[in-house]
Amino acid sequence: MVLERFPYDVLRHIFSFLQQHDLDSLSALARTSHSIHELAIDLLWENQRTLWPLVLLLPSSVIERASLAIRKLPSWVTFHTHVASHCSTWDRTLHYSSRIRRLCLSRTHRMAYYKMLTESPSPLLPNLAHLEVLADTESDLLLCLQLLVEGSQGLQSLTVKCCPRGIPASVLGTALGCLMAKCSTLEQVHILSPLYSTGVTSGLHAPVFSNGQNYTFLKAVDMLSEHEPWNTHHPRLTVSAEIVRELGRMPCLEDAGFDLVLGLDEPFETISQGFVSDNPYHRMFGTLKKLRLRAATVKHTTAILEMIGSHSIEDLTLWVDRPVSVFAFYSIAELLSPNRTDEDRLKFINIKNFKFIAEYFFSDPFKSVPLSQGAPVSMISPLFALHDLRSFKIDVTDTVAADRAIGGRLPALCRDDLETIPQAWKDIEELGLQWLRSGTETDTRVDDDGETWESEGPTLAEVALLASRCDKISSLGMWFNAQDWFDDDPTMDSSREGVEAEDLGTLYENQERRTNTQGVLSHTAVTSAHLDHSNEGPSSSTLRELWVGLSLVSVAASQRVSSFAHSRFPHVAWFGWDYSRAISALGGWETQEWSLVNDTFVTMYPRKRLRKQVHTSENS
Amino acid sequence: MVHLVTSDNVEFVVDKEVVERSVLIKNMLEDVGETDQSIPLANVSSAVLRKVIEYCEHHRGEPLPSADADQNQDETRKRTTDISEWDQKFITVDQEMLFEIILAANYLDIKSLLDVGCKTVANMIKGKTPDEIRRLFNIVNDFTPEEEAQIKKENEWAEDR
Repeated sequence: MVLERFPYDVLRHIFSFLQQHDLDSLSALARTSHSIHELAIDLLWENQRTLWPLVLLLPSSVIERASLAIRKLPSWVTFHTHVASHCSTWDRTLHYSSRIRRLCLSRTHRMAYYKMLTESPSPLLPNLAHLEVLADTESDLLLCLQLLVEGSQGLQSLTVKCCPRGIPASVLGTALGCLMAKCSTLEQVHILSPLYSTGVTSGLHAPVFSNGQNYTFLKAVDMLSEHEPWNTHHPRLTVSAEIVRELGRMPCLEDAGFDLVLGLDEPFETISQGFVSDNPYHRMFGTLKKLRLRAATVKHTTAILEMIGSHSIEDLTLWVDRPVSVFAFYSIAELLSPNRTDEDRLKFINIKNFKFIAEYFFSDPFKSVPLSQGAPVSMISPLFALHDLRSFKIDVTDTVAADRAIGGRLPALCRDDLETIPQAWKDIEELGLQWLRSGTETDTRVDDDGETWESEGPTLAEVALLASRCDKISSLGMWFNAQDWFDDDPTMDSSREGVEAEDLGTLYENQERRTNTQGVLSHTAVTSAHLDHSNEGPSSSTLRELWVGLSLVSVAASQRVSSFAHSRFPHVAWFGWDYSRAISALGGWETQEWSLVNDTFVTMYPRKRLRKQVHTSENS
Repeated sequence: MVHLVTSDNVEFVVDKEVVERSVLIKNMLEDVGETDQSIPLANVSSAVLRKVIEYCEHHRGEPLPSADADQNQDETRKRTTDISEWDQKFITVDQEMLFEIILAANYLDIKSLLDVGCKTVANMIKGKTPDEIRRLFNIVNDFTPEEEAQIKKENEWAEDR
């Protein structure tokens, strides 16, 4: 068997591994023999970040450039249009240009490319399927789309990276409208904000998607994916209620991401008007599978969720700008939880990935506490009915710091949840709750026998037990209470000061209370008593990432934590924590808490990665 | 247990969990149901099947890539030609056997094994000149020097990418 005789698909698969970083190897392959040449050239030209290689193929009589160096882009290019009209001039350019299927076009030499596109005797990019453009101005965007897409009738996806301040939504709408008229195969539209712009909120309004009949095949409209939750300098691309309405009308839309901001004259209630409810495909968002929704309030979030007509949602990201009360989250969790008595509420039963982003959680002492068999439940408890869940992440800011710990009447997460999670979510692979510190240090709750107990959050041993019970877990983020690790290091406390005798007494008393088998203990407390500080016990062979929340411990204690964690999680490639968020939460680099935390995590965290993050933080 | 018969008429009895890493065989078993009948593999020799079974045994229990995951991971897979230590050792065979394993993985539809084989060949190609590639794979040069020079010139932009 020789390489050349391999089936086409296999040979293409082999060569595809060279597409990312080894174009010179593909170029060499293209020169080995005729039988390999075509395939190698196809793959070599398939993805382009510039049209410059096409410019190079034009005769020197057509273009003038400041530098003839091939490997360095010249500072200027002049295009002689009177010479460029001869068809033979274009032979080599067209020979290669028809192979381009994906183009990510930057600003460089845009005008030269436009001239080339205009002068070409036949469509330059007839097989273009994926286009990404960075547009500075409205005229630039329109010209770019008109010229690049001319003759590219098979375009499947378009990504526009634009400066929202510079491009009125109506222009974007016109450009997209023209595009949709030409490219009936377009399935995906991504509109992204620039990374380095210092702009603030900017809105998209009608008529960006004003003519629903053009969007017959559109499956994905994403205007949110590159927004970073905690980057306040990132400009926001918001959409009006009218655009949400147009998105909801699209008959094939499976993936939507948008940031809803209502105008002063936009009544929220009108969004759902005009949708026929008896035909599932005419219901609002009737075919949706993936939703990323950012809204100002929980009220708007739940209202959109209630409008959704699809029963196929598998991937859900909800992002609320403001602080969210644990009761408000509980109401969202209840909405998502399937209720067998109400068929319409089964629509979220297929959720596999759920992420919730908010500024922070807070307790609301005036709300009545939800109970299960007479005992308070946690705010996440309704989600245990979503049995297909594979990924569940909660991303909030300083819940732990600044005295914002949640607890008391409705905990965010309670110890019993750690027992329920492996039973309820048998397929769970990612659990990101490291910023969800449940309860204050004196979070009280009542067990089944009516006894009141103090809950201090899970210990690392309990986290290990949780990981061992989740058969498929690969990434686990959990705040854990490391204060236990002071037990045999009584001269240190979290502020690095000597512990007074009466404080030590309290410390031992608390420890004894938790491990006192004479009293009435919850199952988790008994488990904790047996597991704490032992390097042997339940572990997880599937876990690859362990994310931990903040907990202040001494350096000596942190080394024991590290030893414990490494023995229990032998396959964990890293221990992660959010360095910059920790700095922010603790009030800066110079605080005593910061240096203690820093010492702690230097022992727990791979030094290479830590250095990288320190470097990044210092630069920023 | 599943009975497999190779092109050179050798029968293998393999654990169902192991052999079901092949999508082809998994689908066959689902269609036919439980049976004692042997499955003929006309395109695979006994030497190659032995290696394929060794691979499947080692990766027993690992999650199979789903159709969705395929699409999502496609780009990631293409970004790297890294091969795990065990796989690297497993695939260190002569070129004839390497090609046979790739063809068998393609026929039996074992995506991860196909990736390992194809990455190995890609790694062999990396950084080589056209002449070196020809020598490595016994490819006959049917280009004239002028043709080769023209292709090189037209694709020179790729050399520093």
